[in-house]
Amino acid sequence: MNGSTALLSVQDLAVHFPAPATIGFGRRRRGAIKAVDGVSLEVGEGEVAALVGESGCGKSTTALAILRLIQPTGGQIFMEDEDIATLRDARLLAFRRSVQIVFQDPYSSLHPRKRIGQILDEPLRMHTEMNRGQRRQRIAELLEAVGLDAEYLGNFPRELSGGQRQRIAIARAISIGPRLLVLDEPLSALDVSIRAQVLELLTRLRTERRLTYVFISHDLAVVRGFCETVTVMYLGKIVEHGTTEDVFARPVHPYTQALISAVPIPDPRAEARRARLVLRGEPPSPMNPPSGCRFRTRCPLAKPLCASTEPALEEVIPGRTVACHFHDEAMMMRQQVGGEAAEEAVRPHSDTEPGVPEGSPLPADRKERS
Amino acid sequence: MRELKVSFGAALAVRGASFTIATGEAVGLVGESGSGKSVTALSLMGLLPAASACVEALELRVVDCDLLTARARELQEMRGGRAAMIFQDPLTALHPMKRVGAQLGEAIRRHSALTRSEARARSIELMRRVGIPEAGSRIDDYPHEFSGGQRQRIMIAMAISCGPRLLIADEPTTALDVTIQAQILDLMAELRSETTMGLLFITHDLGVIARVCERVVVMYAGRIVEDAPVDVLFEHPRHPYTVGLLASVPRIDEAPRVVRPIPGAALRATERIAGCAFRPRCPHAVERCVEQPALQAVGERHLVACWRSREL
Repeated sequence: MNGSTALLSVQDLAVHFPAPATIGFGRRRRGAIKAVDGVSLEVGEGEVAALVGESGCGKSTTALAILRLIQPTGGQIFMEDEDIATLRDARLLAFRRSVQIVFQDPYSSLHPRKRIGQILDEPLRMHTEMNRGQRRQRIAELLEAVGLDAEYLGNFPRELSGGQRQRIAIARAISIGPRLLVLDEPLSALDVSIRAQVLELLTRLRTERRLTYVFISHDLAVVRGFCETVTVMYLGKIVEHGTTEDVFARPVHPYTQALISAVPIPDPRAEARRARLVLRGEPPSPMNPPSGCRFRTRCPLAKPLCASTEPALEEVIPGRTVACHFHDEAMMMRQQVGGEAAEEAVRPHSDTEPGVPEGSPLPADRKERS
Repeated sequence: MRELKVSFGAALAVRGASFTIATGEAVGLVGESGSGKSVTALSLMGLLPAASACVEALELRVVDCDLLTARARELQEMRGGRAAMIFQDPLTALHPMKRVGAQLGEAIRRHSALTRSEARARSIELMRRVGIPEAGSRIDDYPHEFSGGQRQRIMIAMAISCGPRLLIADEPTTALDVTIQAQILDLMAELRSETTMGLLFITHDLGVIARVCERVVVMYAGRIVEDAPVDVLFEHPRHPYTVGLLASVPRIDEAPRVVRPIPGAALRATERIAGCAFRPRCPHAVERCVEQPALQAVGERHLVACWRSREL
């Protein structure tokens, strides 16, 4: 962001959903699912910002809040210094024009009984003053921009492949000239070779149209190649933020380290010599998150302090914010587990590791440091 | 399996595919949706609906069971006994209204002479083995009371309950988060190291293949285009489709590189094409490609179906 004002600024965002009422004879407890709990981030004009984490971490909820599609419980979201919660009427319409979304599943995000031409026409009718001929002209341009033939205009979505449908969803999103596109797992439903095509399209559109992207994904390999900054979320909180290259080369938070090391590398040699940090257990329910640091129940470094005090998101090295009490130890652990220099210094990963009790549920793949 | 062909009416799901899996070998079957990999797996288990699917092959055998001639009873003995299968979505694979213990027990008792209580004890032991905490008290829970990762563990417990010699896993970790995927892959590797169970691992994720498998079979439009040991395939891919696939996936362990997509789209099952199905997307296609190339050896245990595999 380099000191310039951010295009999008999220401050201390909280989104809580009422928890389902407990059934039974006990007193009804009123709880909340804290899907997003105190998330702040800034996205500069022209930037590609990634929001990553596993299911339930709150990344998609954050996206919906940015689009003002759900009401935040707390915090504020600014689009160019304008608090989006206060927008009404014409200002709100203008906001809708400037922020658009592409969803994961192009099978459900396109109306199944409308033809492609109608699907693309609708936002133009809603948001512009164009007449029929101008709209037709614009739709033809849009199809060309996303690499599709005009012959598809009369087709229904089901007659198109997944990749083609996602191109239509992208064409619809850019049709009214937005400045910010929220891409919510736009590649996850697509085949491997098609993913690369859509990614290429997004890269091209971004430069051609000076777009800013918020890219939500659990595919970290794609994030590394495509995004400039990355924000890692766990159970509704940000655990780490920094520039993508820096975070991937030197992850600090134990969760970021585990997340990166969990992604398989399409190269058997690299896989074999890699030492991995395998987390134990599964993410706890966001209805009843652990006290203190929410990651502590799966963290190999957890200590009593982690249960009592929530770590603040602090700048631990220049340009990098991390929420971990023991970030120094985490950095030392990384050097031992592997990180960027996973050559001979690191023992290869093995499944029959001495010292691991037989049949125990997948302990962290790392011995205590001696 | 030799020259397997499966069609559903006009749709050709598998157009002639051959491969073998040796005892204890872990083979990855990689391909995109519609390439015929799941249909291949289902035909190996005799699970395709006889009414709609037309299955032809020169040979189709799974651990001594000849699927071309086997009767229903023989198939039932093979399924879940000598060979087992796990699916992508454990929630639909498990019966939602039955306790997991009952489902595990059913599988065990079907293929063994154990009594009800013995089968129950064995179920608890299996659940413990696949890493379900407090297995003894959770055995009477319903599938929805477990998380996605735990449900897949239970599916694995069910699959290994009768000591199968072949496990077919159809995208078993695709629906899971990466940290859970890592746990499940480790569990499968661990179980395999203890037995001589063969594995057919179906996935579209080349990274998972690299982590789990010893050999890879690449499928495209219902045919096998390349078959090679895992390190050979990743280092010296010979089929243009394999080369394109490897160039199109980003890697997490290296600085951004230019990812080159394969142009065009895969052949649909209802489409017909003379010769190599990859021809319209192939940068090296020549006139000869209108004839179907056979799967030929280009190196030790390395088979490629491409006319130009020797020169490229």
